[in-house]
Amino acid sequence: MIEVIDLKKNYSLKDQIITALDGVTLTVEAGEIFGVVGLSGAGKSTLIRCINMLEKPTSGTIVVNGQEVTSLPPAELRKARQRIGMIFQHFNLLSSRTVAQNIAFPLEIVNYPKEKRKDRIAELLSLVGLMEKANAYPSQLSGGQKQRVGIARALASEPEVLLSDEATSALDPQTTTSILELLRDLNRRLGLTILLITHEMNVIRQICDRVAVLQDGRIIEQGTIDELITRPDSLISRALLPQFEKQTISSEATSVTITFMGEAADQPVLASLVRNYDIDVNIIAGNLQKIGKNRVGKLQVEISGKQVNAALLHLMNLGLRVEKN
Amino acid sequence: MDWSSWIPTILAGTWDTLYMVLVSTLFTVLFGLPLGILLTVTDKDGLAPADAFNSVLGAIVNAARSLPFIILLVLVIPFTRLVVGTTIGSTAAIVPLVLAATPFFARVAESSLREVDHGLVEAAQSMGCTDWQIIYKVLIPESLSSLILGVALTIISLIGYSAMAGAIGGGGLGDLAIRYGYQRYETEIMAATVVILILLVQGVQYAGNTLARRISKK
Ligand SMILES: Nc1ncnc2c1ncn2[C@@H]1O[C@H](COP(=O)(O)OP(=O)(O)O)[C@@H](O)[C@H]1O
Ligand SMILES: [Mg+2]
Repeated sequence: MIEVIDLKKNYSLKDQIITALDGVTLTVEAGEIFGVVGLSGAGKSTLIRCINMLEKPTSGTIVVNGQEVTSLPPAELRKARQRIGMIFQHFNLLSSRTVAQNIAFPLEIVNYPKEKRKDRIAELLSLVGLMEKANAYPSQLSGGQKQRVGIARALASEPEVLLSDEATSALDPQTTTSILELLRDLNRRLGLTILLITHEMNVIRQICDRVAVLQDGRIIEQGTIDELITRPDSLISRALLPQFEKQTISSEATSVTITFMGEAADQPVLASLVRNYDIDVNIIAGNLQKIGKNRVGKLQVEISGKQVNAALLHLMNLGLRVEKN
Repeated sequence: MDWSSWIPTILAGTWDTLYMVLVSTLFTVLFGLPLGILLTVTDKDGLAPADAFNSVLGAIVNAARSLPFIILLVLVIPFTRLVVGTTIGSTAAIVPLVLAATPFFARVAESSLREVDHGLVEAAQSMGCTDWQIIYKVLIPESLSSLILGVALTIISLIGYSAMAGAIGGGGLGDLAIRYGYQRYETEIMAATVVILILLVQGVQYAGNTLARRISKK
């Protein structure tokens, strides 16, 4: 749905050149939620703004909806942009228009039939759960409500793709969750492809199917959340899973960290381990959380007894990740 | 002093002033707003940057603004004759008034338009708007309240200028004040015109503020 090939972007500031993107290549499949995460200044905004050509790439190719946006003449670029929705950190709603009028804005631009606009606006308002705010002005709304209007506006012209530039970064955690749930819901119900950028790992944890880590204008890691989580050395797993500090209670015991994913996280694995092997298990630290669709658990334990190695082997055979500390 | 004989004179003078100011305001906004838009849009951070054009236009506007009004009044006499066929009377005064107020209002409008959050422009661009659509659907509506204050400010300047223009043959309250108040020592007439001018300025400012507040939904 979105294909970015060897994208480079330089900014020239007086006498120096800043390389914001240094050869980014990524593919966002139709119907998925793809997250790009990175520290401030990594080039995330530059990347997402290149996708709809708000920023003109220095070199590289970008294909959206099968159209090479990087080589479109102005009039066709505008047409292409009507099929790419975008939401923003600071919402960017017109203060002089009501909620309904803000949502009408893109309909005016695409010349949506006048007699159908009212129905379409009502439909969009109900989609984002703001029916009763149709005639309010943005200044009368909370941040979360403003972003809902932003989402409704972005979806008005029925785009295939939604770009989200730090859409929840100005919101509190609860509101962030509700907006992410809305995006997830829209993704499922409408088959909407979403490319979002964020500096918050929580956003990645809550809704992304796939993720790329951007650092200094380069992608240094990319994959599905599920596969990155299971790789202990991945930046994503290190960021999303708790890092236990090394602590030893008993010097005779073997200290290990076990990571549970998927079904294993829902099973009483440890209990059956103690029942079947001649060992003792002492839990030092533990955590269980939801990442994307999966529950992921991480336990730091000390195991002692006669059958430690056999027990560890058993765990590995169950598909759990076991690391000796 | 017999006021009743003066009232028609003062009313006529007030009418002349209102006529000059209102018609000049109309033309000033008509010319100044596009000029202000042009200055904003061609700026290097604008919608359609055009550096050289912007610098030249900016220089012309600044030059026009730095010209003292009294000099402009004299300088444009041939031009006035060309446009309205005469150089005396209220209608003739409108030409220099518009010429003086247009660059002023252009700058005022420019600063109002610049206040519009760039994020709004980007949002509009992301929806596929043309530059023209951004101007009339985003920049103007979003700065309307500030533009109205700018118009009020311009009207107030025009009231001041019109009094000066009046003094050199344009009619209106300025003319009255000079002819009767200054040259014939009719102090009451002078005072009456000053009071009316003050009321006009206050009225315009009040109306501008009220309207701007009504419009602003921020
Ligand atoms: N318009 C610009 N002019 C000059 N430098 C810019 C501009 N926009 C971004 N940059 C620079 O490019 C780099 C990446 O910026 P950005 O894409 O905004 O990062 P992020 O969104 O990840 O915080 C930064 O070093 C930033 O200073
Ligand atoms: Mg950013």
